[in-house]
Amino acid sequence: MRPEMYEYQYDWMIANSIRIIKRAMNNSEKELEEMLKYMPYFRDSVSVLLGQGEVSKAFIRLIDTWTDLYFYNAEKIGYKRVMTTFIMNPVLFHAMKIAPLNCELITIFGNAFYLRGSFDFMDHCIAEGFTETSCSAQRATLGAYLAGLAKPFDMVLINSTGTCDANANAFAFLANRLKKPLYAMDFPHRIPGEEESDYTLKDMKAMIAFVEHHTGRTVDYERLGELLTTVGKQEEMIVEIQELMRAVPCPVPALCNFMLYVGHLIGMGLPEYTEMLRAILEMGKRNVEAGRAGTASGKERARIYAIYIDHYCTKLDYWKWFDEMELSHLGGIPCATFYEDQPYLKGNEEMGWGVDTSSPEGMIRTVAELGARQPMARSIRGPYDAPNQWLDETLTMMKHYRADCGIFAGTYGCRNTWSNNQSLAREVEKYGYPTLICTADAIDERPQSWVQTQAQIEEFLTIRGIV
Amino acid sequence: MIETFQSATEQVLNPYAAEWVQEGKKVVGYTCNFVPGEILHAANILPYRLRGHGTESLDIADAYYGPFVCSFPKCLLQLIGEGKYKFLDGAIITTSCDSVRRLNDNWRSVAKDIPDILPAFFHYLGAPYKVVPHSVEWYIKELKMLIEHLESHFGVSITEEKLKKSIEAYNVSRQLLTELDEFRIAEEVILSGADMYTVVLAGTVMPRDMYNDHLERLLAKVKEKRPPVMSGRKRIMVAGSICDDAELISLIEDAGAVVVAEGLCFGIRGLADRVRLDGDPLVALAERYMEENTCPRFIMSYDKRVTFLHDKAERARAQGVVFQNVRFCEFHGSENSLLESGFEEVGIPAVRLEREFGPLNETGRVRLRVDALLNRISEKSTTAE
Repeated sequence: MRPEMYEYQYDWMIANSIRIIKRAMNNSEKELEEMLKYMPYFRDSVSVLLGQGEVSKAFIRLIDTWTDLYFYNAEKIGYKRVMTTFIMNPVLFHAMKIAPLNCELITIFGNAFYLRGSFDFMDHCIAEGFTETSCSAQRATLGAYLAGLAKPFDMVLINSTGTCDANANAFAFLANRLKKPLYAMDFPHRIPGEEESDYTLKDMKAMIAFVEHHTGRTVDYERLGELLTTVGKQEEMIVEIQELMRAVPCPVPALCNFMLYVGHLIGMGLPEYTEMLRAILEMGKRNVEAGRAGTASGKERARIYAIYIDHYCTKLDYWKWFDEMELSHLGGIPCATFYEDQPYLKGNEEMGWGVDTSSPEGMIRTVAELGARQPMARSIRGPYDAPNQWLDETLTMMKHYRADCGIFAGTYGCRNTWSNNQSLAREVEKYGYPTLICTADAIDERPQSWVQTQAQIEEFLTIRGIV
Repeated sequence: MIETFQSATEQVLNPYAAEWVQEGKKVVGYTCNFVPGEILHAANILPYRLRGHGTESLDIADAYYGPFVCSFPKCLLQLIGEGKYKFLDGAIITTSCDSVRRLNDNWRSVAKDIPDILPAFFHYLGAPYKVVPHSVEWYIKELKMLIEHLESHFGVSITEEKLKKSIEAYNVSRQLLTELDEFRIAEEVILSGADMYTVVLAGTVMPRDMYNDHLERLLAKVKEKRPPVMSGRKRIMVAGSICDDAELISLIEDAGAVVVAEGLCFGIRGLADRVRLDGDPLVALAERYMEENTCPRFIMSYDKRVTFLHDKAERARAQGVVFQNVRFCEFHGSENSLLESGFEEVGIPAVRLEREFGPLNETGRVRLRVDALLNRISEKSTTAE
C-alpha cells in the first residue's frame, strides 16, 4: 500500500469526513459553496449527499451518530465492537451494548470519502492473502483492518452463509487471519416455512449465546422491546414512503432510496433514523401534492428498478446521474423490507414479518424473522425461480412499482448472482421489462469506470426506447 | 495394475456405467460429496458423481453462467448441454457453493433451449454450512426428503435394512482405500499419487460392488511386494479446489515429485472414516457426511481443517505442499493463503497457485511453480545437511 495511506486511520478518516459534512451542512448555500472549495477530495460526494435539503441533513445526522458513536468511539460509551455483514440487523446488538460494524457500508464510505476510492485498501487485503477475485464490498474494509488502520473489533458475526459464499468467506478469512471468534448464521434454501423459521430461531439463539460467552454481555430485553417498538413505527413509515413511490411520477428522489436502506441497515431502532424517514415522507407527500417527480427538475422520463444492488462508485456519481437524467429509482433488493404491512405482500402474507414484544422469546423470534428477510438472505438463498426467490421478487416489485425496465448491478465477486443473472434477465424480459446486465463492478471502479458504465446504461435506455 | 480404474475415469460414460445402463438399471448423477451414495445404492441406483472431464469448449455454459464463475460447474453445464449426460435418469444438485448450486437453475434453463437433456428426476439438496446439532437435524430432514422423492419417482423402497447393507458396502471401500493408501504414503512408495488418485476417482463413477472387487484385487497385487516406484523423489501433498482427473497429480509427479497425500474433495479426504452401523442409519449417514467433510464451505471449521491437513502431511512425511484453487473459488483461494502460511511456519515449504478447472491449459505456468517448490525443498535439504 502507498505509504501515505498509512497517515490516517481509516475509521478516523471516515468518521471525521462525515463530522465535517455535519458541521458544514447548516451553513447557507453560498457559504457551503465556498466551503466545498476547501474540502480536499470528497467535495463531489458531499455535494451529492447534501443535495436533498432536510432529508440530507437528517441522513448525515444518522450516519454521523453511527460512525462517530459506534464505529469510531464505541469504547467511549461502553460498547464492544463486532465486525459483521451489512445485512446483520443492528437492533439486537444495541440491546447488548455492542456496536455492529457493517463492513460493506464502511467500504462504500471509503469509496465516497477517499481520493480514488478505497482501492488501496482492497489491494492491501489481497497482499494479506485474500483472493483478488473476491467480492470488492468487503475487501476495502478488510484491507484497512488488516493494515491496522482501524480500532480493533472483538469478534466476527455473519448472517450470509447459505445465501452468499463470497460474503461469508470474506469474514471467515478475516476472523481466521486475525484469530477472532467467529459465528456464522446459516440459512436454509427455502423461505418461508415453520421448519425454516425454527432453524433460524435456533441459530439466532446459538449466536446470542456465542456473543454472551465472548463478551460477557447479555440481552437487555427491556431495551430490546423499546427498540423493536421503534422499529415497528419505522417500518410503518417505510411502508408509507414506498407506497408513495408507486405514484407516477415517483415523488421520492433516487438518492433517498440509498439513504433509506443505508439507514435501515445501520439505524433500525435509532431516533435519528425515524427523523430521516419523517423527512423523506414529508418531501414525498409535498411532491405528490405538487405532481412533481423526486428529480431536481420535477420530471420523470423513466422508472428504473434495480434488480440487485446499486452502483457505489467514487463521488457517488450514480445518484447524481439519476437526477440529471430525470430517472426515478424504484428500489432494489436492499430496499424491500417485507414488513407485514407492505402491500406487495398481499396474497403472500406468510413471507412478511412483524414485531412481537410480548416476551423475550417473541423478541428473539422477531429479530430472527427480520434477519431472514434482510436483503440477500431473503431472496437469493434458493433456486432463482423458486417461490419468493429472485425472479418472483423481481417481477412482483417491478409490477408493484410500475417499472419501465430493470438494471442489474453487482460486484464481480458475487458468484451467486453472476451464476444465473442471464437466466433471470431472459425471464424478466419475457414479462415485457427490458433488462440490462451492467458489466461494471458495483464497488471497484477500476475494471470499468463510472463513465463507461454510464455510457452502457444510457445506450441501453436509448436503444430499448425507454428514454 | 490400475487399468480398470483408468477406463472408469477416462470418459463421461464409462464402460461399467454403460453396462449398468444396458441392463436397464438407473443412474443418478450428483454434484458433491454431500450426497451419501449409500442412499442411491440402497435403491439399486448407480450414484454417479458428475465430472467436467473432457470439456473442450464453454460455448454453451457461457450463455448461462456469467464470466466471473468457477469453471467446474461451467464444464458440467457444457457437457450437459452437449448431451453427454443424457444417460442419467436423475440428478441431485447440492448447495455446495453458490456456483455449483446455480447448476440447478442453469441446467433447467439450458433444457428450455436444448431438448431432452433434463433428467426426469431432478432434486435440489440443501446442505447446511456448519456442523452443529440443529444443522445436522436439518440435514437429516433434507435426506429424508431426498429418499421420499427417490422412492416415489423410481418406485423403490429404501429401508433401514437396505441402508445398513449399503453402508457396509461403502465402509468396505473406505477400509480398502485406507489400506491402499498405506502404499502411497510408505517410505518406499509402491503406488504413485496419480495411480492412487485414479483409483479413488473411479469409486465415484463405478458400481459399488464391482469397485470393491477390483479394489480387493488391486490391494492383493500391491501387497505382493511390488517394487517401489518413484524412489528418492520429493514427497508432496496436494490440497485445495476440486480436481476430477489425475492430470494435475501427474503434472506434479512429472516434475520429479511423488504425491503422497491429497486433501481434495474427489480424493481420499472424505473416505478415511467409516459410517457407524449402530442406530438409525440415516442419522449415522448425516453425521458422517457433515462432520467428516473438510470443505472450506464449513466456514466455522477452519481449525479442524488445519489439524486435518497437518496430520495428513505428517503421516505421509510430506516435504512440501501444493495448495491450488480454481479461479473464482474463494473458499479455497483465501483459505489456501492461511494454510500456506501455517505450513511455512512449521518448516514445510508450500506454494499456492490458481488455475482453471479442466484440461490443463496452463501446464507451463503450473509446472514452473511446482519446480520452484521442489527447488526450495532441495535447498532446505542442502541447508539442513
